[in-house]
Amino acid sequence: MAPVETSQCVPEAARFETRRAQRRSERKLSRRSSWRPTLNLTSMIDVVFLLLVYFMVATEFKQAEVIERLDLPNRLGAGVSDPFEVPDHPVVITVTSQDTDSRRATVAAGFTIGVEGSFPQPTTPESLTMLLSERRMGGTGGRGLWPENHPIVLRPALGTDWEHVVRTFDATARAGYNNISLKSNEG
Amino acid sequence: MSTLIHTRRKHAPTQVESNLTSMIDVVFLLIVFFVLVSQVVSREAEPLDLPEVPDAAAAVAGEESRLVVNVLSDVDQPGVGLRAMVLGQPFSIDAEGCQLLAKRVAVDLEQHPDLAIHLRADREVHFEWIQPILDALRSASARVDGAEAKVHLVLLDSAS
Repeated sequence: MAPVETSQCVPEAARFETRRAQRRSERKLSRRSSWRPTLNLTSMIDVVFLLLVYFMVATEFKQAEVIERLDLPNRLGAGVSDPFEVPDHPVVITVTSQDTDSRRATVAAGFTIGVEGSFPQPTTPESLTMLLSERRMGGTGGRGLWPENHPIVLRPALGTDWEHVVRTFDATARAGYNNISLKSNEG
Repeated sequence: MSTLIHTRRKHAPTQVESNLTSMIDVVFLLIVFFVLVSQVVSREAEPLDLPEVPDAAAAVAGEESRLVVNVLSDVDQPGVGLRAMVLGQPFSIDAEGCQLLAKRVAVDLEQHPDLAIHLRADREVHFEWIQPILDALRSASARVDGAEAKVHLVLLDSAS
């Protein structure tokens, strides 16, 4: 079987070989004689560095966490008090989450802000910012009397969500004050 | 099929070589980078929902030395602080746990007096669970001479 097959195939293969040789000589005339494919490493390294830079930038998303400075007055140590210092009465701001009693699975929808004393009571963090900014020296309106380091105490009620405390803190800090402390209701 | 094989054979003497040295350099750089990054993230910051403030008057954390105190929320009892985590070390939020936390923070404060303490608390934790931690941080700074506890609240700026 096998020899018969080869004898039949030989003329076919020979014809193919000649055709190939013809084509090869044609190509030699038209194209370069030696064709060596090389890998362009420059572009690969370009791409790898691009990936590297991308991931470095992407991990910065973790840093989207921002910070706000909280003043923690060190009142436990025996501080040297100035006998001529006028005691500053701090502004006390209360924060209460809505429905503080119920066991809810998420953060309450809203919260109320109160300022102790004869102040117009703010309803939103924005109005609290306005209220405090108007009373700051150099704030909006320019008629304020409180210095930047006027003590402000945030007093969240029992069951107030941390998010609402932070929002009120942010509203206070945005009004330009830098002496804000947190104190619980019973303290 | 046969033509395909033949055309491939035509280019047989050509050799494709790639410079492996630079590629390995880059790959090792990537490996080292990811190893470092993943460790820092898992040890310092616990996964929790930070409070979101629209357009916050806050700053991005700098490169100064810091200690991150995480306050996790109890999954079974929403609003209840489960524990505080400092570099993967848990502290319970009670009198004993807060004392240990104050000791732990004081150790770091002695080494770096200008240490910034980042308070990362879950948004749904009620304030009465944060207060003992703030008190612990205050007593830690009182314990160390010349140290002023710089406490920073960590939050998400939902505008950016």
